[in-house]
Amino acid sequence: MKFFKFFLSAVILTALTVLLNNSLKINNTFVPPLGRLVDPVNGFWANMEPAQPQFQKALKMDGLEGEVHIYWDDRLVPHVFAQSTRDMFFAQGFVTASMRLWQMDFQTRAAAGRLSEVLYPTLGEKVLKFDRLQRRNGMLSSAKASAAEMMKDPLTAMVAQAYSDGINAYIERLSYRNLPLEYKLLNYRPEKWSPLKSALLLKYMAQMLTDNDSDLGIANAYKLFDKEDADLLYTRFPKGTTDPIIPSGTPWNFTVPRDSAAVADSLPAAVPSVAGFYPEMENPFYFEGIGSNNWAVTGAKSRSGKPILCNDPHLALNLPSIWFEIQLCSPEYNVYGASLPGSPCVISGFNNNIAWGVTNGTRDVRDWYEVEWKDASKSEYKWNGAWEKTEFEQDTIHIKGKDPLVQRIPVTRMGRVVYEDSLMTEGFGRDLAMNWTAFIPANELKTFILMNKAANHADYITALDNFGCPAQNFVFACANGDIAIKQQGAHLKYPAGTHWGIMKGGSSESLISEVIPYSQNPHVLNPARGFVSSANQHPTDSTYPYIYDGMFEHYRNRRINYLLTQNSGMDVEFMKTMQNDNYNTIASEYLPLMLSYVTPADWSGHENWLGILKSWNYFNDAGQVAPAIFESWLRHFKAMTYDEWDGVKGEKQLPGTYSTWLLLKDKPFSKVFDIKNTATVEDGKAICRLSLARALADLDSLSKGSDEALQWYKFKNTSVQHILQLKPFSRFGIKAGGNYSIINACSDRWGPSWRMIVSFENGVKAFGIYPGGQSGNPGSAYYANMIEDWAGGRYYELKFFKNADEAAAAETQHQKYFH
Amino acid sequence: MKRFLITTILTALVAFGLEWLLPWWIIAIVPFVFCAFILPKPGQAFLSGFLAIGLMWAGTAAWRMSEGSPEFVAALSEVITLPPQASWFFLVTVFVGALIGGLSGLSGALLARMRS
Repeated sequence: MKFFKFFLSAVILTALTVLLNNSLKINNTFVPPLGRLVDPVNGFWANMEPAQPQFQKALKMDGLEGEVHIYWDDRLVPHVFAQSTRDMFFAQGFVTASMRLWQMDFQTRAAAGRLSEVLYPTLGEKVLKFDRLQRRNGMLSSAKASAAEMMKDPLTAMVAQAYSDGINAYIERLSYRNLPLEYKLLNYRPEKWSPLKSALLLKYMAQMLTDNDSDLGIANAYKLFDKEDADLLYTRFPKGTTDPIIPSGTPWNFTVPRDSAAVADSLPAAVPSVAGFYPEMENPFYFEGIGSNNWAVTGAKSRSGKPILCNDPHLALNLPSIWFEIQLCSPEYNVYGASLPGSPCVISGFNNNIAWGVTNGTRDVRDWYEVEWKDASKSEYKWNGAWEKTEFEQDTIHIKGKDPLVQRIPVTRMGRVVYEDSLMTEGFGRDLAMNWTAFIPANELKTFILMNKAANHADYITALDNFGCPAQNFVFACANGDIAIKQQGAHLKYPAGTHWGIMKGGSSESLISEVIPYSQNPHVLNPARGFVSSANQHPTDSTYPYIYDGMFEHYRNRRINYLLTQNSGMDVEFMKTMQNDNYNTIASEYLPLMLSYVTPADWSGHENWLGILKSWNYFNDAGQVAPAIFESWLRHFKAMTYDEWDGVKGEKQLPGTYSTWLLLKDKPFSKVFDIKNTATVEDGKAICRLSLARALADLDSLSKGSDEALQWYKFKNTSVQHILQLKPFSRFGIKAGGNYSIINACSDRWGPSWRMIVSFENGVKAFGIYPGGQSGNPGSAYYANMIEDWAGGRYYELKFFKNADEAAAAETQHQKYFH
Repeated sequence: MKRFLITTILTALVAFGLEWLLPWWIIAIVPFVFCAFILPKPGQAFLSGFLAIGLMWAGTAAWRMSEGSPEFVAALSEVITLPPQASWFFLVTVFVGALIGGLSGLSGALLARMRS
C-alpha cells in the first residue's frame, strides 16, 4: 500500500513534468512546452529586458585578432571600432546576432526551404508546401552557387567568414535562458551560421524583389482579352509615360544593332499554346505600387551648396524590422547605415565621402519556358527537334516529427520545372521551366564591401560591377559634389517579340542567356537638371537600345521629379517633408474624371461626402476622410472594370492603375468596361456610377453615420506585424498617412522601411528612422520604439562618430570584446 | 513547524540556485530530496514543496516584472492563448511551479514512509 501510494505520486509527478517539458499536439493544435516557458528563471520571463539594458563591460571571445570597442547609443545603435577589418566584420556578426539571431536564422531557413525542419509541428502542411516551392524555385542551389562565388574572391571570403565566425561566437555563448523567445515558443535551437546562410539571405531579398514577374498573368491576359485590348492594357510603354530614371534625351554612349520594331511594339511573346490558363503562382511578396524611392540633388539645388541624398526602400512592415542600424569602423572603413541582419556590410548608408541608396529595378528578370515532354514519365523533353534526357534533382526535405519528403525536380536546359503535380492548377497540359537572373553566378556582397569604403564615382561604378540580382537603382552622392544613378544588375538581351509572357522554349535558339554589358546599363552622372531620382519607374525612355518589361511605377516618380524640379535651396527639413509627402497623384487624375462621369443623383443621401471629395486637396493625410471615400470607389471601379478575371483559375494580372486611367480617359466606350454577366452593355461612365453605389454602401456600413471611422489611417489600418504573425508581438492601427503610389508609400502592410537623408554640409550630416527598433526581442523596450516617430514623420540625427574617442565622449555604453 | 519552515526555505533557496545551472525540471527533484530526508509527513511535504517552489517562482517573476514591462507579460499571456493580462501569465506560472513542487515534496515523503 505504501509502495503503491509512492508509486502513484511519483508517476503523476514524472508524467506531469515530462508533459510540461515538451511541446504537444492536442486536437491538431501545437502546444508549446509550458513548464519550460513559464519558468521565471529560464523561460519567457528571462526574455524580459530592463527598460535601460546594461551591457556586459567586457567579453572575452576566441577568434578575434585584437580588441574591439562597441559603443551603444541611446537607440541601441552599435558603433563598432576595430583595429582590423576582419575584426570589424566579426564584431558586426556578433552584435547583430545578439540583437536579431532568431530573425536571421528564420529568414535563411525560409530562403532555403528548410522551415519544415523546425516549424512543421506548429504550422503543418502550409510550411511544407512553402519549402517544396522554395526548393523548386532553386533557392538553395542558387545560394550555394553564390556562396561558392563569394568564397572564390579572397576579400569577400574573409568578410563572409569573419561575419559568420562572429555570429557563431554568439551562438556558442547561448544557454537556454538567453535564447530568443521564438526558439522557446517553437521549441528548437539555433544552428551554426556559415557564409552560405549570408548568401541565402541575399537570395531571399532577391526573391522578394524580383518574383513579381508578370509573365504567366500577362500570357493569361492575352487569352482573356482580345489582342487589341490586351495590347493597350499591358503595353510596355503606356501612352504619356514620362519621367524615366535616366532623363529623356540623355544620349546612349553605345549602339547596338536593333530591330526597329522591337521596342515600339509591345506584342507579348507567346499566348498559351494549350487549353486553359497558366497556373496560379505562389508569389508571397507581390503587391502593386510596392517599391522604393531614392534621389539626390547637387549643390546647385541645395541650400548648403553640397549634395543631399535620400533613400526610402518600401518593404513589408515587419517586426523584428528588416533593417538594423550600425556604424562600422576600422583602419579602412568608417561607414554608417542600415544593414540586413544576416549579411555583412551596410546596404543603404554613407561614409565620409559618399552616400548611396537603393530602389528596386522592377524589370522582369525571370523567364518561363514551355517544356514539351515525350511522355508522362517526363524523362525526355523536346530539344532542337530531338528528345533530350531530363535530369532529375533529388531533393530531400526534412520534416520535424515526420519522415523526410523526397521530391524529384525535373531540370531542363531551360531551367527547373517549378510548378507541376500537386503544386499546379489542375487541367493544365504542359510544364514550365524557369530561368532567373539570380541563377547567374555573381558576388553581390562584394558590391557592398567595396561601396562601404568607396570615395568617389569611379569607386562606386567598380563596386556596382559585381552586382547581378536583384537589379537595383543605386543612387549616389559624393562630398566632392558629384551625383549619379545607375540601374545595376544582370539583364538579358531579349530579341524582338520575346520576353513579355511565356517563352516558347524547345531549342537552343529560343534560350536567352546573354547578359547586357554592365557598362551599357542605364546610368547618368551629374545631369543638367541638378538631380537624379528613381521610384521603380521605367529606367529609360523608349530610345534605350534594349528591350525590357515590368510593371513599372507611374506616380511616385512624377511627384518626386515635380518637387525636385520646382524647388531649389533645398535642405534637410525640406527632404524630411518630401519623404513624408502624401500627395495622391492617382486621385488628382482619376477623381476629376470619375466625378465628371457621375451625376448629383448618384450621390443622393451622401451629398456631404461629395462635398468632402470636391474640396479635397488630394493629400492622403492620416486624419482625412476623402482618401477613404476615393480609395473605396477606386477599388470597386477596378474590380468591376476587370470582371473578366472573376473566376479565372490561374495566375491573374490586372492592368496597372495608370493604364486603366488611360482607358477610362481615352476609351470610355471600350468593351473592356462591359460587365459580362449582365444583359445590358456598360461603358466606363456606367462603371463609375455602379462602382460608386457599391462604395457608398461599403462606406455606410463602415461609418455607421459617423465619419470618424473613415479617417484615412483607420480605413487603411497600417500594421507592423511579427514575422510569425503573432498578434501580441505586432502593432496595429498605426496613425500614418500615405498609400501605394504616394511618396510616403505607407499602405496597410507595406511602407517606407528605412528613411535616410544624408547631407554633405560641414562634413556629413545624416538623419534616419525605420518602423521598428534595434532589438528583435519583444521583451525589450527597443523592440518597436521607433514606430510612433516614424508614423509621425519624425527623424533621428544619426550619430556618425569620427573615431572611438568621439563615441566614448558621447552618451553611449561602452563594451569591449577581446581575445 | 520549525522543521517545516527549514525544509521549505532550504528547498526554495537550493532550487533557485540550481535553476541557474540546470533546466527548470530541477524543481521536480529538489523538494523530493529535502522531504525524503527531513520532512516525511505527506501532507506537510506537499504543502512545503508547493509553497517553496510557488513562492520562489512568484518572487522571481515579480522581480523580473519590476525590471521589465507588464505589457510584455500580458503579451506572453496572449501568446499561450490566455486572456491578455499580465496577472494570468503570473498565476499560471506560480500554479505550475507550486503544483510540481507540491507533488515532488509529496513523492519524497511517501518514499521515506515506504522505507521506514
